[in-house]
Amino acid sequence: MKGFIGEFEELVLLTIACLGEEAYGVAIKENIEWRADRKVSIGALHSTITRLEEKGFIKSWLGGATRERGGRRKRYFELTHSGKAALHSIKTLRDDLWQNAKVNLEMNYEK
Amino acid sequence: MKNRREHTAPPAWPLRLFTWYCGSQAVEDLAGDMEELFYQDLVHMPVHRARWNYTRRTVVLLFSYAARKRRQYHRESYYAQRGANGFFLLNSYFKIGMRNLVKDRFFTLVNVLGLGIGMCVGLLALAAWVDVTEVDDFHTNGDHIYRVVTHYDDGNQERVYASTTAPLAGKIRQEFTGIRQVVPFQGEFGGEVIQPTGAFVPLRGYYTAPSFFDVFDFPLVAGNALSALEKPFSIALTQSSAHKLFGEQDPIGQQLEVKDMGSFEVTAVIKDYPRSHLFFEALVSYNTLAVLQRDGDPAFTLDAWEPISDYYTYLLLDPGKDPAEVEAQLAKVADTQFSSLTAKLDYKLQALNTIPKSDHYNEIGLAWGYLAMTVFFMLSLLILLPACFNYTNISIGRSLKRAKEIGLRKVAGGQNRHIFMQFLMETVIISIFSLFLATGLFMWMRVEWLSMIVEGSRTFDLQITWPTAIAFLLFAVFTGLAAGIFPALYFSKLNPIETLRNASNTGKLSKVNTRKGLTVAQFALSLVFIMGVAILIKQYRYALNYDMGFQSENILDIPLGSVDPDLFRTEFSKLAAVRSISMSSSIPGSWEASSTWVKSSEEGDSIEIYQMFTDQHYLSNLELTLLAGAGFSQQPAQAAQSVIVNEQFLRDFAIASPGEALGQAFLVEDQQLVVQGVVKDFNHMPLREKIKGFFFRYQPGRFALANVRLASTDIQRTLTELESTWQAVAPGQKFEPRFLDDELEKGFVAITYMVKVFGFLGLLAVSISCLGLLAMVVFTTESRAKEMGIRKVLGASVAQVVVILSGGFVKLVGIATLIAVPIGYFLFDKVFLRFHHYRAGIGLVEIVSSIVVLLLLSLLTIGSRTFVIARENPVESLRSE
Repeated sequence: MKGFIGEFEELVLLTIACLGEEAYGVAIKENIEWRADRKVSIGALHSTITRLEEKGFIKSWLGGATRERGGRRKRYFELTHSGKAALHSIKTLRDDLWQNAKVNLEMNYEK
Repeated sequence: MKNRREHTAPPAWPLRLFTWYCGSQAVEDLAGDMEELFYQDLVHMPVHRARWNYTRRTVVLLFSYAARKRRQYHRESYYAQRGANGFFLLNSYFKIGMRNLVKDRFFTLVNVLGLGIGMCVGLLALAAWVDVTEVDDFHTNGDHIYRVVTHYDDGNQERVYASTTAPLAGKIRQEFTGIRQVVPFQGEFGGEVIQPTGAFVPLRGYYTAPSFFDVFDFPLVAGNALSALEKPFSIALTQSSAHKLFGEQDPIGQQLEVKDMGSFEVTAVIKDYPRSHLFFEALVSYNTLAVLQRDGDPAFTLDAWEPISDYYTYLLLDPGKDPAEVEAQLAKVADTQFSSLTAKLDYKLQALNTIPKSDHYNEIGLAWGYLAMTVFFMLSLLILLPACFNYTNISIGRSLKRAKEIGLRKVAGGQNRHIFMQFLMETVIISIFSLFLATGLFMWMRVEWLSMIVEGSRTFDLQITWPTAIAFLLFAVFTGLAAGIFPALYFSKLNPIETLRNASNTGKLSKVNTRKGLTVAQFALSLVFIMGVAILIKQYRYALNYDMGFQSENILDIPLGSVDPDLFRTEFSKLAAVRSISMSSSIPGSWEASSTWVKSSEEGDSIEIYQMFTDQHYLSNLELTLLAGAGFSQQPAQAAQSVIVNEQFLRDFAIASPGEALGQAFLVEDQQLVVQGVVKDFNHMPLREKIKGFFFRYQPGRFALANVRLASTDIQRTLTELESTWQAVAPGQKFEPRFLDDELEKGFVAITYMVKVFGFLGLLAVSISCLGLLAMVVFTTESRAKEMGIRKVLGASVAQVVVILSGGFVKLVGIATLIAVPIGYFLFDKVFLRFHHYRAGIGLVEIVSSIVVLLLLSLLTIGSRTFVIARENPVESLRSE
């Protein structure tokens, strides 16, 4: 199972992709909370980010000094090629499963 | 809102904690995130909630994977490039370590010597341990061989005997399931083989059944394993004993004449075996026991379930058989057999590979259990620890020299971890060098040690094999780590700013007290050893000169062999050199005397009384003092009915005066014996033992020795004369005279061994202490060289400088003496000499002389260095800046 990523890791990677140039710690946390409507602890988020970076799925750089954070710089993240590849492979797997499902997965509330 | 924002800040301490933990550079972005979240919270919640959330988040983040990773990365990012692997670092530590050691040769030499001396006893213990673990590892069935052991519990004490009762083996063979083979042993085969030349050769071994060769892997050189131990009076010899008895002849089929037992036929020769807990020169067929028992020898009780001595039972279980099942069957046997006894007895199984290490009572062969090993290892630690202290001491003493180096390293980016590893590496290098020295010492000690343990010589050869070599190396590395860990920690914690700013570095001398403490401890230990030697030598001389109550000078004990005592007397009395002759069954002052149980009447309690069988001339010959009555009557029949008792015998039976005892009758072995005389107490056993109740009896059949008292002082000529007479009386038999004096001295051989051991350990301890002291003196005098230069310039004399430099050290040795003397006194008086009933005690002379020796050695050590410094031209030390 090459390049396995977990559900939360996938979520973080996709959120980084969504945020584009503005992907830094707090922004990612808020974005996930807003979209997925779930509480995300900053510790868990940073641990995951650290792991993703170790796996080579994202890379990071430090931005310029900011006013609102006591002058502290932000660390921005972006996807690497292998990060994109990992997202692709998991998506292909999902699509494949969706298409081959023997049960009707459509949720037709009108019926 | 804006207002609120400006005046409220997150609590400071969580962030401080966080940056302290991770390193401030690494967590800038994380800290920023946290602050941002705090101000977001502030918008929609009260300040205390926001602060609480902030704190909570920081703590969570503190324990997160992110923080751990950043911390690691932060530590590594400066110094070691991330590409550098562990081997590279190790290599660099090694190289730098070697350079340091070469640069400071004195330090290296002192430490190699110290650690080498410290390790040698440990090596001996290790080698012995490795040998013990290799015992019995050559049996193919080894995993399935068990021994039945007997647990004994009478409420007061619990013991495990290695032996069992004799009939157990047969019962197991008939009634148990899952047992492939049963090997019974009787452990007490021993006798004197009478050679065709008349010489006696001692031979010992076991009685055992033919299944022995089936279960154990003792290969035969000659003979048939199936039948060798079948018939009664068959004997299988080991190669070396066969060679001892028959030389180059083929031993198979030969007859062996064993004194008092009969004639045995040699049926097999066993290859000399590797290490085993079984220790035998010969194996005799088990069926012999039945014959001996039928002949009425009470020593062989094959059917009795009572005594648990002498008989051993080994089992070979079927593969896959659970030993617990066999134990359950054994429990049933124990229940039926021992139900009548008050003490609780139980059979258990013991796996073969645990045997020599198990500290059981009545061990069949080698007993080298955990107890012996623990004592051994404690002794080695006692020597090793001071050597390690020394290293620590000296290293920290050198901190003056090396502090700057460490400061620079740290400024250049060296982390605590790296400095720590660097110092540890240096220590390990030193300890490996020491290993060579220690191994050299070990090779020499080995010979001495093996000569002290007679029985062990088959089990221990203490050769350096691969397992031993690996154990040695590990031991050396371990020693290095133990010695080096404190200096390494100390140096790695040095503050670079302090060390670089302040060359004299006075604050670091706070460790001085510990160092002094260690030196005192070492010298105290050394003094205890020296005292031990002095006290033991005194005990030895005391024992040599002790008046044992009988004459031992010029008395020659000649074993009679098969010579008739009367014939001996008539022939030898003719010689001019012989003053008088008596006969006895054993040597006084030795362990040889037998004992028996004596009652004053049918109903009375039995008391154990030691006995010796002598003739009428014995008392006068050995100049024993008669207090009442007379010696044995000249009429043999009358003499056989009487005994001559000692004073302790009277006390045992509560008889007030010697006169009263005369004529009283005592029951001895179903025989009425009448007290004929009373002798003054004399030491019939070695001086370690108290004088016990004792009597002389008259039974010419038990005479084993002729005690010939010589008149002449020309020993050599007398001996030749005696020998030629002997040849006439007992042609072909060996003439083996022994002087009583020499025999008595053999009783003190344990003390001489102790003197050797203590002397050696003392020598080691003293050398280590002196080396440590020397190093301390060197470093202290070096650092005070300038001060001394100035003192001399201002007019101090050499003597004054020496006193100033040495005073502190002499004080340390003084304190050590104060501590060691009471400890040593207590140890030797209350503990050690307890084993000797008649003891010399500890005099002032021993204590003072030990102290003098120690002081002299330490003064020499201190003086050797302080004089050099004191005599130096002050210009030398003051010129260089």
